[in-house]
Amino acid sequence: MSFFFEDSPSSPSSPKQAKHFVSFGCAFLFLSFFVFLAFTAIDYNWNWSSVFQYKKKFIDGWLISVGISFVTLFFSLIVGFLAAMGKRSTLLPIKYVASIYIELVRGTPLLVQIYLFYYVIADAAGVDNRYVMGVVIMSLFSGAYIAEIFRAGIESVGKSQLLSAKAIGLSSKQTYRFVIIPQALRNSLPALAGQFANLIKDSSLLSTIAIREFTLNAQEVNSITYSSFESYFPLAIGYLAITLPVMQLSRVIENKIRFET
Amino acid sequence: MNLAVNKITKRYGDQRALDGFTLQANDFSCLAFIGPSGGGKSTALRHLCGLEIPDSGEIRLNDSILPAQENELLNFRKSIGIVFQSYNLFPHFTALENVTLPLVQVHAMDAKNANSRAMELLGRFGLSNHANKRPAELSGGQSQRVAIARALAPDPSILFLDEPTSALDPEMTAEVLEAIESLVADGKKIVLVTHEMGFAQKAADQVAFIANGKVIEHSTSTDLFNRPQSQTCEKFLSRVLKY
Repeated sequence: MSFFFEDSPSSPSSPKQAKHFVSFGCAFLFLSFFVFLAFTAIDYNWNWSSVFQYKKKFIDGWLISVGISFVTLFFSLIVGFLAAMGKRSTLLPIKYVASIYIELVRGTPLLVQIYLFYYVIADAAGVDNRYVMGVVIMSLFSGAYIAEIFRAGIESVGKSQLLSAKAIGLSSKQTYRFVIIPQALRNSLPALAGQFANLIKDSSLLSTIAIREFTLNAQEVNSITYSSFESYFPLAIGYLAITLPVMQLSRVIENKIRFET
Repeated sequence: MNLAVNKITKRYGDQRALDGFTLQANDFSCLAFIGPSGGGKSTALRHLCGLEIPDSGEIRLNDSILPAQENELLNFRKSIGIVFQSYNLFPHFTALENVTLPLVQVHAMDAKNANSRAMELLGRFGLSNHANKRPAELSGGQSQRVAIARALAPDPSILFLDEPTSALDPEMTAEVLEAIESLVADGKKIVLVTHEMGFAQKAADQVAFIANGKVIEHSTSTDLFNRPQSQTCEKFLSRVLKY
């Protein structure tokens, strides 16, 4: 029976790998069984072959989604950094612009932001490249969350560090550059990796403004082939293929940081 | 070194941390602040080294008045060295980088000279083999010696140490006190807050007994320890020297 229990640190080392592998397999089969039951209950008629013909569409869509997410990550780091610094500014108008931006974005659904930006602001600004707009919208959305991640990172740098910087004669700009930002960034890395996983999933909503990313292409395959579920499985797997490694990376960084300090 | 503190006061909320703190210390080489916890020793030291600005009163160090503006205080702090109780090294830098950072960034020394200056100081405190370690890999005593090397690197006119051994076990305390004693022997001017009465008696030439936010008594260390004038000081000494 002890085979199914996690090792306590004191117990003699047993074949840990095998143990976890078997338990994971059992859990996976158990959950799959319910999915299988559900589909059997609705007597679903599977038609994988017609969906398989459109594999290129899936791959193209996946690449677009990943591409948009990476470009967005880059810009949202900049937006997030500026917003976080803005919120710490002693100049009140800047502080409030940053606060209002962060609260509005975090307090409203992404779908609403996408529609508002795409149909009102982009139109008014005369931008008609929907991919550019997609990246702009996602960067502003994700930037607000990253701003909060950075803020928490900055606040995690202890007062004693600031006192020390003051004592050796660093100016406030130098204190940010050499003391606060390197430590804040390090402390923010696990949360940033998690935010990147969110970004990839959230980018699926860009399908609503006809950006030909992963979700939109999957929906198209569904309607072309008159199937209803077959496309959604590759879709789920496609997202997991990138979110699982990213979340794992986040855990690895977290452990590494914990051991180093 | 001359230090003249004239009636400085400092309040934190309702609490009077410094209450007309006055001290005239002429020609000292090592001045120790002793006294009960919460009596204002560390607060006074933080004001002397320009980390905090008093609500009123003035501080003169060798006849120049400490400025009351943060930007001018920054320049003052560049000319002195400060060491804290909890070392406060930067955890993301190695011991060596911790020492070179102020040299390169604040004192505009080039990287090569800064490195050799830092290695010379780390060597002096027996840390040559630890130069490339991060603070997390150093013991408390080693960290504190790195902190002393960092404060000493720009060759400050005076060194302020705020309870430099209070976070250390007896063996490490001895390591750090030896380092400080060797600085006194070299003629470095020092002001320190300490609970190590033996050290204050032996290494300091002047001692100030501080309680209730003021200097109760100040004289040479021999006089203060052997013939305390005030009752509070006598009581304090008899209690701390009992064991």
